[in-house]
Amino acid sequence: MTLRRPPDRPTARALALLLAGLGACDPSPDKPAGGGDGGDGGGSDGADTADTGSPELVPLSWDALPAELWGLANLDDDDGDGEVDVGRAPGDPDHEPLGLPADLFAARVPGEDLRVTVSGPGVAVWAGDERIADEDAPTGLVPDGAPADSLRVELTDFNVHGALLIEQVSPDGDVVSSGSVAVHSAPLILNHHLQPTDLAIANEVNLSAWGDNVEMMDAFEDVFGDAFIRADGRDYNWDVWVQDEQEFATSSLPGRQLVVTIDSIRVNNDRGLDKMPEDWFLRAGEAVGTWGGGRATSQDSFGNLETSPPVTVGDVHYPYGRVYYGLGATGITQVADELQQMLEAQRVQAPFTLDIDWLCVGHVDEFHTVIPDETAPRGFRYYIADTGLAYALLEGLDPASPLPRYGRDHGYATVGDLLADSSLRAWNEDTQADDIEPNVETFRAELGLTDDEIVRVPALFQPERACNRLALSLIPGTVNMAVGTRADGAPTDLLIADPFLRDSGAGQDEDPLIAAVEALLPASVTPRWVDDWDVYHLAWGEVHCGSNLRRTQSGAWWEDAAHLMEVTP
Amino acid sequence: MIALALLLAGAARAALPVDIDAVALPSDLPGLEAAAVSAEPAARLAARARIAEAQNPALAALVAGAEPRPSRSGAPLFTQPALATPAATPLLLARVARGDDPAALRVALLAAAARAGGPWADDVAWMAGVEGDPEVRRMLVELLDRAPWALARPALLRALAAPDAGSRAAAARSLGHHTDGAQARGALIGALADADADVRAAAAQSLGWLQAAEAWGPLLRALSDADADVRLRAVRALQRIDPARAAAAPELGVAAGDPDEKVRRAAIQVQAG
Repeated sequence: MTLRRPPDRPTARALALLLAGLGACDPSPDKPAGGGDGGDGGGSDGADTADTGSPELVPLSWDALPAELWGLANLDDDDGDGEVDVGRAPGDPDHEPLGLPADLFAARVPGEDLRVTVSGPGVAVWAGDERIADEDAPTGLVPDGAPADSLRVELTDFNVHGALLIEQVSPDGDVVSSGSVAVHSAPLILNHHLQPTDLAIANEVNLSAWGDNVEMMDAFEDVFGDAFIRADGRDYNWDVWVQDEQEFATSSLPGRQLVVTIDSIRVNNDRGLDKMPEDWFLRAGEAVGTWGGGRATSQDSFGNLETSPPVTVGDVHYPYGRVYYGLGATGITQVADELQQMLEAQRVQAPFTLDIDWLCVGHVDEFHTVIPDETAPRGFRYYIADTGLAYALLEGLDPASPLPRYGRDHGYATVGDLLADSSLRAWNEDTQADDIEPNVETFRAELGLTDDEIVRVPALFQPERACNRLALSLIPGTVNMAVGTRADGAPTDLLIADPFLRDSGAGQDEDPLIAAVEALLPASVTPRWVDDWDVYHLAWGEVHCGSNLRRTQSGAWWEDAAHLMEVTP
Repeated sequence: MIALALLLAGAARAALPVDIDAVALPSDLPGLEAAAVSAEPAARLAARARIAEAQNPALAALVAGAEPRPSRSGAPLFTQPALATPAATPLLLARVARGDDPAALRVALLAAAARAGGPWADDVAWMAGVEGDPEVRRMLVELLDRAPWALARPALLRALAAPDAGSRAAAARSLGHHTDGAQARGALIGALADADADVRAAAAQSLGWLQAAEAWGPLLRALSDADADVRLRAVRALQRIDPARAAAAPELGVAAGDPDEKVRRAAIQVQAG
């Protein structure tokens, strides 16, 4: 299912004009029109409707119509058929009733029509089991005999703002009365790391050829218990990049919430996780939607889509944080236009972009993460990869220290070998100065980050020969971690790639990089170091890339983010 | 691997001008061992593969039938631990040389060969000069940064003059990463005038890493290059060669007002010392 959005949304003023046009009951200049200017954005226009010469036809009262109707996008699966309901589920409970009395149309005369017109994208109207108007066919007729309370509105996308006009039309074609409603759907709000985790998912693989991730699966199960979905890799063609396939979000109205999974278009490249969102996250009250189409770039994966915690930047408060993603300067490092437009259109989380052209895979999770920390000025800190710190750490070690994993897979058998590669060091210095630091500056500008909110983490990248010497993690990317925030104030669980910067016989408590990273973490977290080397690290990803955490969204955007929106319930 | 079907779609193209399976080889082990160190490169690679196959038929079968796994970006990879052994190197290179696989897969096989750690440099240096597919040739050139200089030098200088920009850029990068790359400073300075911006940028970066003082003038001129990445690499190269002199250079003052944010930022940093 692919939803399309036009790039432009109606502004509030445009919407008012639209409603005025729809509700004017002035279908043509040479016909007497019903009264009402519609300028109030909705309600009845029938009370002062002119006589049309059909004495038996009584103008209807539309007083029961609300001025505004709010709803949630109907992208869940109430009928349990495994498909998104939108456009294809008569009687769906997510169709929003217009609130008209059932017998309003009971006195229809032969030849009288009830004409329904929708405007704006993402709005459809059902009369019972029949979809009578939508953005493709904006005008339709209410079937004869359909009771007025069978008219319902279906919203097909997030943060849509349209209008609905119902006209009572005489057999002569004159509009006898009309009513209109402004129609809105709630915005989509992506999750951030300060929200408590309510579900975790990863894909278990155990292949003799590639190795297995059983230890990592066990760690997730230990941390999240029954809230962990240990999916079977065989069901998904051994595609382990669970982070990239889906992004979790919510869409809420007072008293109602839809849990949403954004399904990446990477499946268009025949990646194995195609059905994972539908398998696990499509049901009543849980929606799945895809924005974009065609062949995906690596940037269409959702390790490249993150959200900050709540921030105030300048005078603007973003109570649900800000969305950001990596965008390249070349045609092969773009994010699907439809997804960008959708994210922009939600307004609540005002997206911005980062530079990822220097990375081989090209995802923003490769060089930073966000960790909740009550001691931080705003309750969180950004942890940023820092190659200089890695060299400082290495220089403090015995050059003869063996690094068997690095010897086997990266060509550096000892600490001394790493330090002796002068071009690797120069390249890492350039990467830090010219690629990572500009992104830090972007964080400062777009999120208002201060020095006290930035923690530098030792990291080393390598120029991958098979990738035109673009950057990949050489030391497993510790910032590329899963952050399991707790609702009850319990310590946040961090699942972090074991860097294996030690001899094969040594334990994690002897690993100097583990010690260095743990010294940077707040007291309110519990780090768990997991072996992701064979299945993830060698395949250009880490723990975060191979897992996904859904989070509980609370709050009332219509109250605390009203200043970011054009209209609220 | 179904997941790689799209990526690997398309017929494999003829790779090398020599069919290594058609090379006449001795049938006895001493004869093969002699061929394996001979100066005739096709026979050398074919003999090494034949010996490896005889010594470890299971490994040979594994290499012949190995399927890639998709990386996070979707690029194919051969990360099987069983392939990370020097004995696999000639088998992997022979599979590359046969050219039966699509280019992306052959690139991945080359990465696996380099990881395996066996004798590969002379074979790779030869293949870099005769490979027909530009993407595979580029990867072969990239690998030469770890080859002994006597093998790497002629192959890299040849690649730096290749018709395709991908090979030239790869050569410029490999020279910068090579421990003896400074011996090719002159060629890299020449590459600053290459028609392709990626080549010029790679040359500038490598000259900085190699601290090639004689490139000072050409690097200053590169600050006016039309391509922002070239200008950025030139700023950093000047900084590496002589930080104090770079900070005082009037051209860096101009670069501090560069329209590109990264160039401007780097130049200001260099000026600040």
